[in-house]
Amino acid sequence: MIAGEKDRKVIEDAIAARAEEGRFVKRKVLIFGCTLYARDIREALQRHGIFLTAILDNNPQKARGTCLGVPVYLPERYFKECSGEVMVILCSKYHREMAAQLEELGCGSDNQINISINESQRKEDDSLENLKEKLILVEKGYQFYQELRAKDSEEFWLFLCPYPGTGDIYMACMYLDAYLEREGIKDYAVVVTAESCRRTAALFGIEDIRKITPDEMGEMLRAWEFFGTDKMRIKPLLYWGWRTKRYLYADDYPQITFNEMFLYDVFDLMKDVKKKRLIVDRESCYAKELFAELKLASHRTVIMAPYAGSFVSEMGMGVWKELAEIFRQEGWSVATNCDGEKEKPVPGTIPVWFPYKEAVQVLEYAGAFIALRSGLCDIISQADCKKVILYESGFNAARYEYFSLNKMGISMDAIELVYEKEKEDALKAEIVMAVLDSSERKRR
Amino acid sequence: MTEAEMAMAGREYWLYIKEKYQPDEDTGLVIVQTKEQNMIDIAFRLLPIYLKRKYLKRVIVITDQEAIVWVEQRVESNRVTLVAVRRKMLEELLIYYRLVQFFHEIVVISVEEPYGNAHIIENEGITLEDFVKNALYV
Repeated sequence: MIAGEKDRKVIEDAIAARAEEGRFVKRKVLIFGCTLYARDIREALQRHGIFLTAILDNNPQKARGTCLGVPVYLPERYFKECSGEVMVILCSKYHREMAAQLEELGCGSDNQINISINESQRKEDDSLENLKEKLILVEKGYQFYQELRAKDSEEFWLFLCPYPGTGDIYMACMYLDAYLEREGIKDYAVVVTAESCRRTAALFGIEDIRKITPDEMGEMLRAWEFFGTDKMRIKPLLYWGWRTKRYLYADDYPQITFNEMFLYDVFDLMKDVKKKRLIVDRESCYAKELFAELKLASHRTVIMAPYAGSFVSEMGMGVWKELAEIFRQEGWSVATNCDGEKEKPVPGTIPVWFPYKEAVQVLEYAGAFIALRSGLCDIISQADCKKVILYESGFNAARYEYFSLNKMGISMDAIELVYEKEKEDALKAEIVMAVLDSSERKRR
Repeated sequence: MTEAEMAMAGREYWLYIKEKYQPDEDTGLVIVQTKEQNMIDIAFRLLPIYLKRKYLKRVIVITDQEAIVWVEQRVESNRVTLVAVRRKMLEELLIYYRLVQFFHEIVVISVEEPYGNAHIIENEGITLEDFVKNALYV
């Protein structure tokens, strides 16, 4: 997840105001929580010449490593081991208990800054105006639901996939057939908000895919949360944004991955249920023609995927560039998967784009794939090639423990590595070793 | 009664509770929706952990009149205020909650949609206690 533009502005303004007040002067600046806002807070601080010292987090797994290039501490440990005046920035829906915990550790309100972001905080409001406003919104969502299924039968179901991420829809589609069969559902549509999700669902042979806007999706979900399934034949597919619904906090359960959340929590299926996989057109000439057109070497091309929609990596372009250089020196072609103008190729590599339905074939033709963990990794998980998948410690959106392809059982041979800024050189060496075969490694 | 009318009624009831019990920012609100005694047992056993984890000084527990005797026997802490209501009122309060975040800290003891989900329980070693502790009381 990446913070929205409005949230970034709130953070920017809050940090600017506190910097002007001089509240960071001669203090170590800490953030409480490896949250999706942490990066934006760090960047806002840097714009005022202020640098982050550490992050506090109550999760012992995170507190063993680093995040955003700084150490992560359990709060108790930090205040026991470290000295000096601090300023702790809070930006979380748990800000109340975080503030109380800091107070207990001797870090009072003068040493705390709470940045209040709507989405991150449970803002209470029991006014009549608020109730009326919310009723209007749910009615709007319900009306949209009726319009969306106006031509469908009474028995028709809508499966809502609220996220634009391809990984979410991939997981949902993997188990959808088993769920439909068990429930005896024949008439349904999958509803998505992004073109990439539509393309992913189509790969699983789903015919009725309806694309709506994120706002329309939000309104329908809000209406369903209020009216329930009795009134709306809707099944939401994993959605973290619920205000009322509580999910298991998976950090304490290493056996629970993204896969288990879909298998059990969303679909209530048994562990041994068959996963549906992508249908790969083995007769397609797309990969061969693409490689010929771009003059890429078959089975000696590394395709790099340095972009992920769900998080901004700490692994800078410089590392990708160095890796590309090494592979080129070894006689490999190197390409960058670029989807859209914003995704620039790694310097010195050839930009390449291919449709999802050809992705498995393209990677098998290439021979090697190095990628940040993104939804594309789910799509290519069944490709028979060297797949190096990079995770990042600290952030939930790229955690190995939760998103590992091998742990989820959708790949058995992915080479999965965790990026940590201070271990960059070792990581580069591991990536090179993973891609080059033994004779090439001997030469190096 | 329509859902909107039920939400309105739920709000009226909430305002009554607020006036009578004066919850503040150090108070949590726990609504016991489930009728399953095992889940109620677990929820009350873990209540001290919840209070500690959330840095709460007290908690108002709203429960069904029919379950009150059972619940009373399980309350050990003097930081818990028990409020017994008719089932209809409890459901109206929950419908209001589905529409509005009317208090800063609300937990619904339930595995039913939309408050929770029983599906993951008893899979991969996850128990009902795990669910109460690490899904509801988070």
